[in-house]
Amino acid sequence: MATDTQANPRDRIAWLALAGLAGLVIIVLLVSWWRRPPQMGVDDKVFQTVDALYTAVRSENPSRVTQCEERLKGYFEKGLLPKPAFVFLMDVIARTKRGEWEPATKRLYDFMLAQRREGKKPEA
Amino acid sequence: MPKRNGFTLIELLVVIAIIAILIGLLLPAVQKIRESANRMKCSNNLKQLGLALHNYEGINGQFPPAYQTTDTRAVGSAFGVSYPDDNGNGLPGWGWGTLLLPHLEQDNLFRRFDMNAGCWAPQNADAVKTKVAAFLCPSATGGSDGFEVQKEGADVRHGVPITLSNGNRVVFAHSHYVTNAGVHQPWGRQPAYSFDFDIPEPIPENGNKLARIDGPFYRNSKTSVAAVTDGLSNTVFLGEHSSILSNKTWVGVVPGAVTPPRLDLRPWPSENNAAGCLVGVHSGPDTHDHPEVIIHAPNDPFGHTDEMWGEHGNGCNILMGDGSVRFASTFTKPLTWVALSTRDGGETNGN
Repeated sequence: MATDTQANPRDRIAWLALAGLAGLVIIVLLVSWWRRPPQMGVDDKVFQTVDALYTAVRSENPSRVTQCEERLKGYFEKGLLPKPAFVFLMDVIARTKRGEWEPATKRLYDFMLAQRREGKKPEA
Repeated sequence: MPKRNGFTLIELLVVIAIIAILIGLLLPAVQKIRESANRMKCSNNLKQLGLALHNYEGINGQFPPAYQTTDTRAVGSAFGVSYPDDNGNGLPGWGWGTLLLPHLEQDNLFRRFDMNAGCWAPQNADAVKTKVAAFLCPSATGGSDGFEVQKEGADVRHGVPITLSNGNRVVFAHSHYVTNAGVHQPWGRQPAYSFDFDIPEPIPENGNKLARIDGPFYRNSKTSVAAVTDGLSNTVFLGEHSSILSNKTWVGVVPGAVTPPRLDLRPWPSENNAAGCLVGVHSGPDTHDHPEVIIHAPNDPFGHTDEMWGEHGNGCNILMGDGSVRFASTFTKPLTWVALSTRDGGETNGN
């Protein structure tokens, strides 16, 4: 005689399917959160330079990219640009030096679109 | 006890979850069809505006200006609004859209305006709120029922409503279309060069190189067909600017106004622009941006309030001077966008 504590096999499969779907949703959310571009702070000069970098990358103009790279390095050294954002931007610039202009554009576009410009201005 | 063959609650939950996922997958396809219809309607609006512009030019020998100021040196105050502002803006401030109304089968509305008074004058308060479908893109979110015109607020990213001497606020109808001022932003010039936008300004940051406003529309512009020497089919006249980025209007310009980004809707990283940007945008690079060369094609990801912005994916519809409507992608090459923005830059464009 079956007792109340014994699970129905159909229920078990259904529970597994539900857990699988929930797991899938959680994984998708985690991956999208993990792949979120870093924030670059609130400094006006940094914003202008990243904007100029975007123009330089879309123009496929190596000398302008180098100018922006030098300025970004300076801002990083002064503490105006957080390290994760600096590393991200240097990766974009490295791609342009390898001639990968389109992937660099796409990556920089997503980075810029994700910026929020919220928080306190760092002391330079 | 007989065995029951129905579904258990858990099985039903699984089925519902699978259906929800399938709907989630199908929804973008349905929205794509809707968006395609909206984009066509938007394109038709721009074509209608293009016809109106050419009708106006046919009668007046020139296209309407982005907006009007009769005397940029006149000093005074009208209903609590002081003029001129730092940019030389003053009375009456009427914009390109108001001047086009008789050519858009909106004569009755046009007759309601007191064109001798400022566009912010109380006697115009009701008429300037009128929603005109030709100026509204169905895809644009962020509002189409009018907005309170603002002046600079707590910082360069916020504004506060302009209040008239009678205690009322200035509310203008929305426009999701803006005029093209060219490479430089007329609303961002040094005050000394803001009386007449046809006079070039020497830019110290750029080796004292002279810069002038080179687009087809700006304050008091008198652009004729002959003045567009780059060719009408190679010059952008109008483009989209959704109110999800910042509020724009067809009505006109109030001295001292600003165009704050819609931080209530999205955390845009951009800043306010000055009054003239209520009716116009530019392509960049701006005269004062050097050494940063910033060119913003439509939908530039930082969302400048003085760029074109459409909600049709990665770009927006633009009206060329010849009346044709094209889609401009955000990935348009910067120098191509600059070339399309000037009326007489002498550039050569591909297709």
